[in-house]
Amino acid sequence: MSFQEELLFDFSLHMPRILISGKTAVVDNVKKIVMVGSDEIIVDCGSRYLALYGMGLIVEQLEEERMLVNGNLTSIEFYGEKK
Amino acid sequence: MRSNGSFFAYTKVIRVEGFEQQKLLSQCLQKKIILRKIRFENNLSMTMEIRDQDWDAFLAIVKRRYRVTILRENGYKPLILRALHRKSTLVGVLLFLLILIYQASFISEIRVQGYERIEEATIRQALKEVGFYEGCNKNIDINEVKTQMFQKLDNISWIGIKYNGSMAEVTIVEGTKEIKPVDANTPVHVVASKDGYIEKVIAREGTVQVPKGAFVKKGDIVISGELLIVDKAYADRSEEELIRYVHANGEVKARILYRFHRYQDKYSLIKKHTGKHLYGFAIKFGSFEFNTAKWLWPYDASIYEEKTVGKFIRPIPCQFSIIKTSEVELYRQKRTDEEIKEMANLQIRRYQKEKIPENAQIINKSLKFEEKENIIEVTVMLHALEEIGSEKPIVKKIPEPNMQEAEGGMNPIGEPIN
Repeated sequence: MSFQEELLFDFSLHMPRILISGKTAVVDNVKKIVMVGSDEIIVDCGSRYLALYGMGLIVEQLEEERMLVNGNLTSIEFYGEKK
Repeated sequence: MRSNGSFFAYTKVIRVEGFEQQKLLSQCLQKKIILRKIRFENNLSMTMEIRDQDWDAFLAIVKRRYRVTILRENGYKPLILRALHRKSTLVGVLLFLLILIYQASFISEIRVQGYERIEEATIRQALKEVGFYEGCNKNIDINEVKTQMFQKLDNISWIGIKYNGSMAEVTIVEGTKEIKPVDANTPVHVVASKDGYIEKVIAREGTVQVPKGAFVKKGDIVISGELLIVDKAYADRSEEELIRYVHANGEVKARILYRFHRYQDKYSLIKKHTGKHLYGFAIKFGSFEFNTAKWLWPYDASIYEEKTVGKFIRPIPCQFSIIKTSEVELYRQKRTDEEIKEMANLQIRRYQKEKIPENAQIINKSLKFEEKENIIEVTVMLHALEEIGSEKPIVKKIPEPNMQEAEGGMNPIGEPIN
């Protein structure tokens, strides 16, 4: 990753950012929650949307633009480019 | 990022029921309200955990759009609050702590170590006599206990007292003072260890110096360890060369005279029960004592009887006793001669136990009673047959050099020097 790419990654505060490890997902830059349920969670990250699909999803923690999700994750989707 | 450490202090587990759950969560996100463990039960209901400090802000968002039910409260703050509301629990905890603190202020066990010749029971008894016993208060002056122990027990060179919790460890170091028996090869005299009249002397080695019936003082030689050798063949030798020193030994029996006075009351006190009595109780917690007899003492003269019903040291030193106070009438009665004689014999036996050796044989006893104002003086004379021989090493005197001979001398070839 070049220096320019790293800078863009760090400071892109309106882009969805997600870290998944096993049954836990850490979603950053959460601006708004669009839809919640035990099998899907859709969040607005500013310029794009992030959708998490799975079973028995639990929001372990919700704080300052960060969401910790636990459960059997099956898929992730990014969509809805905003201008 | 805000700290979420206060989730340990006080949190509420709530159920939120209503439409558009996502809106509520988004508003919480904007208001920086931290939420944990959000579980979606269905489209209309979810449970979550919220900190107490965010509770008011959360209610401001919720308004009347959602129905909020508090399921439970977690954290140490509600635990304390709950405990404070339960008075019986609070009293129990306080009582437990008090017992714990109170128990820690007493000695529950004493361990004695380091003793060799002195018996443990003797040490324990001495400790008890100076006020250091199992169940006594820890605030006792240790230095005072040590000082008194040195007075109580002979031949102690060091004593250490260390607390290990409520257990006291007493370490004794005995002195090295020991009566060493005189070596069998060392020349000794047998001397009298007491003043007395010689009854019998049997010399196994040495020569008898005193006849039967003679009075000897303490330190007088009874059997001498110096043997004079009369050698007719070499009779011209000096006297000094004819003395042989031996380890004298033998049996020395002497009649020892003991004379002492004892006093007795002329009258004896008669206590006659009136039939009236009063029961009470006494409770002793460590150094604190409550005795009903101290508060309620209705009789002028009475007999106090105490029977210990329960006594234990752990968890706290405690003793419970039943008390009986019986009223009596007191009479004075002149004691009979037989009673006086009986008492005198008892006094003699006590004296004998304290002062006269166990192996001594009492051969004569005389009592003289003399009435004084309110008392009777008893003069006792005892004759005891005792073994009084003790060994004393012979210290040979070094003769002073003859100055006249020393002045002259000889030269290496045997001529006198002028």
